[in-house]
Amino acid sequence: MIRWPDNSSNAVPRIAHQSFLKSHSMPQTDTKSPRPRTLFEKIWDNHVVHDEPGQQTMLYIDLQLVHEVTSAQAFEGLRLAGRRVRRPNLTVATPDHNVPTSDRGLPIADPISRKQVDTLRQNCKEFGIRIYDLGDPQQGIVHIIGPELGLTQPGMTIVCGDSHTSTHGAFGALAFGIGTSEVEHVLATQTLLQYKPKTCELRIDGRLPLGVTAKDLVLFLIGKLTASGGSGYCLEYTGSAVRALSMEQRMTVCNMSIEAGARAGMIAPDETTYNYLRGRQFAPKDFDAAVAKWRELPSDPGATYDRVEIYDAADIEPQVTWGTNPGQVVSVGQRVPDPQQFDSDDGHNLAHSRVHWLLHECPDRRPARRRGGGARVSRFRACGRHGGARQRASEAAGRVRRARPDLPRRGL
Amino acid sequence: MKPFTTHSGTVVAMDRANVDTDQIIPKQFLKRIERTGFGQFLFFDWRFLEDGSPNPEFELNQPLAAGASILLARRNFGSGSSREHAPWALDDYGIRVVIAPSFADIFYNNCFKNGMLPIVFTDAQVEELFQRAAKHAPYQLHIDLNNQTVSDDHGLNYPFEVQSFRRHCLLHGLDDIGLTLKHEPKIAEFEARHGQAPVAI
Repeated sequence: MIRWPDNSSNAVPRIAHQSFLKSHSMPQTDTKSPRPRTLFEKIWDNHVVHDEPGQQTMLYIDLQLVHEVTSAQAFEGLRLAGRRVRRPNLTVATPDHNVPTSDRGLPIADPISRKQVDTLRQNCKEFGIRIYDLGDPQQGIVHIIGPELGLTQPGMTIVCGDSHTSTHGAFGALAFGIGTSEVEHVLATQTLLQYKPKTCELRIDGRLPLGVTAKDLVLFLIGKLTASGGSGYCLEYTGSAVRALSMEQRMTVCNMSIEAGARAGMIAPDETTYNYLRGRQFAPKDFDAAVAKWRELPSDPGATYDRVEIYDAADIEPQVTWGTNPGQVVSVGQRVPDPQQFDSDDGHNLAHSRVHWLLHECPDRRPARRRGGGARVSRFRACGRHGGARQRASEAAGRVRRARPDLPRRGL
Repeated sequence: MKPFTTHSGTVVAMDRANVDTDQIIPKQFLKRIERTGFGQFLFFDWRFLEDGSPNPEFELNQPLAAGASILLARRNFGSGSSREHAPWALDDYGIRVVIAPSFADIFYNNCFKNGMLPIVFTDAQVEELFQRAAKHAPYQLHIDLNNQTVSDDHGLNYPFEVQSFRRHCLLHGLDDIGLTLKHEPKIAEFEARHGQAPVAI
């Protein structure tokens, strides 16, 4: 277990774990109705600060993770308004988007990247926020260090200015990405205004076949839901196939909830979760007491979801994405869809707009290339590989060729 | 956020429709890490010539528009990308009020979030203001948010509409955070009951 150096320059007050254990993440027993509730509903109910009909709910946030790309203007907003960070001790930062892969001893070469990382460092110092800076052995991708440090725990609400914050849902937490103005709102108030999402259970029963990974599982689900099918929902992954996943595999699944359009995805905590967290740096000191509370979190028998989808794990094969969004995916044994089917879809519109641009706007051969004209022409061609679409693509290419002899022929 | 109650200032008349946010603050200035300091880049491509000197033709560079804080424009002001940098740039330059026959939705909302007042008048009223701005330059307007009126020194007095909640927020300088902090006792009470997560740092 790694301890902070006591002379740390930005040390902030410690919090007694005991006060947390009294109530945190424990389903409130004063709930009037004994109605069975889902994991999501328990966490949501447990974090409502203020609620008015027809308005957004004011939700308490247990942990905000901060990185350098989406935080600078939030801190600036605080500074301009003379506000402070309400709970620096519930805020943890790390630079992770602009971090060099190698030669970290050298200054970051790109000036904008360097400025963002430097600014995060200064803001953390000014506002008293713990930062896992470059060079710190525990610095890492923000969605990973939360779990690794044991900061991410069942029953918590977690936000970060990054859509893949849904990763933390693997621990039975409600976790989602927010925008910069919301980052500022959470920094200042430790709350977030949210409309309550609907719930969707994705149940996968049975055993995943040999060679089928967590990524295959989630891509399969996204293929079924489509890239926007999860919009407006908080997803909960259930079923024996999900129970059998390791924590790392669960993080992979929850991470990609956003690719289905959902803001959050979650998996109820169980022995796998507790075994992962036990002994981590920020895991509760009285761990058994915490586990006893966490055991109350999983959805009650009879709890209902707004939507339920059930799949058989045995049906899932390794997945291959073929298109431009993660919902465009097929099993390795299937064929990619016939382009006829999306002939009138985006692909065709794209081709149409390219033809217009080539005919009327592309100034001459060289700018065409410099502006990515070549690449786009190739795409125009690719979306017309079959049948009627191919015929139309070919006609359009002919029109462009005749009208604009100055353009490169290759790619048309 | 600074409260807005009354404002008197010089009008800069931009006889242009569909002024979009990329004209208000061109994309190359979006990489900054601050939300202030955008005023120097406001209308950059219109305001400056290629050699970097002020474009004498541009409205904001007219001597009679010096120090202007009220922007008068035609339809669909603030269209295009949703960048909040557009109101940031106007605000940083010193614009407090924008008057137009219509605004793009996101821009209109972002004005209120940043303590600026967008005012919608009819095409005929806006035309009248343009004529007066030309005739009486430098043209002064007086905006009274409490009474929801715009007046000049030559007998003009127009009432305007603004949603009561937005008016309330502007009058009291309340942004979203300010509104939430009005519930501070509830947050504190919640924290006492809830305890805090074990982020012992």
